[in-house]
Amino acid sequence: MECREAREMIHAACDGELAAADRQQVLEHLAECEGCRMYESVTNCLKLRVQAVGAAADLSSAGAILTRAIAAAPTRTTLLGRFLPNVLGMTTFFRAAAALVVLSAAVFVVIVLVTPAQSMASMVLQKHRLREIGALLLDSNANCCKDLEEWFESRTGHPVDVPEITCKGIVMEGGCHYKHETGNEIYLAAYTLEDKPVTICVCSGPNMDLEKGESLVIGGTNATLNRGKDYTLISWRSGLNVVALVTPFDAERCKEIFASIKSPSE
Amino acid sequence: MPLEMKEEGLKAGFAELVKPHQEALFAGAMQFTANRADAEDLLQETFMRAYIGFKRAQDIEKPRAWLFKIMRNAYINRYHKKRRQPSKVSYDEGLDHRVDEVFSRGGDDPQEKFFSQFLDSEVVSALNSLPDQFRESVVLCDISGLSYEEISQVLDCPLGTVRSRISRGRELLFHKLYDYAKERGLLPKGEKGRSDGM
Repeated sequence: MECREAREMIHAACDGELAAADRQQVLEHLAECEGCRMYESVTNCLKLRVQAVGAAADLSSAGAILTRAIAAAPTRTTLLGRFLPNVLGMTTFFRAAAALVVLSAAVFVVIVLVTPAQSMASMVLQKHRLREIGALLLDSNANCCKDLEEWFESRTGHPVDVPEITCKGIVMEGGCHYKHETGNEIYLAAYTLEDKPVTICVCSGPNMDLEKGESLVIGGTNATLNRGKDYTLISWRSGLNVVALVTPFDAERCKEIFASIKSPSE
Repeated sequence: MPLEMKEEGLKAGFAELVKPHQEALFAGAMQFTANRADAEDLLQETFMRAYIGFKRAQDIEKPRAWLFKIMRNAYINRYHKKRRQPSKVSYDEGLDHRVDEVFSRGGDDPQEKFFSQFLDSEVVSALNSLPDQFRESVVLCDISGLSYEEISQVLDCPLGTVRSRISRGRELLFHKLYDYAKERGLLPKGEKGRSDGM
């Protein structure tokens, strides 16, 4: 055995980390090497001296430091965890994941279900002059076209293609009428009531139906009522047509208006 | 179980896990930081980090190595971001000569006499002058009493590397103490002057 190898083993032996077979080899080397015997003696003394440094230190406050640390430890592991409820003992990671799923679902609901309807209602209410509505619909680049597609499709279950409709659309004085090549037609009429814009949309064509919203019957007519943030919408079937009344009034006032008008198709 | 009770149970379990190792950790922290106040801060930070980890998973297989690893990471992050580079000194050169120089002519029990003449602060100073990789291995082994296997887990290195670092670390420590003794005239009487130019 070389001295270099033996000396590394001497340290391990000094630390009680040497296997029996290796220890025997080291002992055999020490028996015939004075330099390594001296090295072993120095190593043992050096280790004892360093150990004495550790033993001399006053470590009595370690327990108090532990107590302080536990008392000061946050009850929630992270800033994120602090704001998340600890449901079913879930870890912060799973709580964060659950929160992300809930948040994503909420964003989905807002974007897919609420935004188009509010956007359309806002457009109808703010741009209640029919010429302006018609002009907007004729502009295929306007966002309102997309809104209109989704709005009608979500309420009628029937897909519409606004750019094609608008290409064939005719802007009329007092109202707009659009005819799609599939046979579907949309009629928009608006007027001012009590200084508020009221819009009537008439959609005609096959497979038009309304299923969403609160059901109501007024004057023998079955209708559906939907409440938006800033509008109330009543829609009803009239033959093959679907008629929608959009107003900024509350539901009760909207029902009164509904009761007082006659659908253009009637 | 109410959250408060669960939290109290966790704290009690954590304290039970840590108590057997708290003094070894403190001793290691004292050597890592070379300053009692910093050591107390490091120890408290270690306990807090460990508690957060303990809340995630309570089945810690080797708690001592786990705690020391947390402390080492906390120390590196907080106190020692720019770590010292490994020394490029050849530790083989001149060791035999120096050992012979100190101990061959020192009378009875020269080793004990040589090492006992240093103050603790001088030994600590010599330890702190070692490159990190050697210093932390020696401190973990001799001051904190970790096994080689535990040290390899703390330092994330193979067992052979631990063995090598400890032996070379101690040799370098001897060189440092020798230089200090020579500088202060503490070498045994009748010793020869250093002739190898190290």
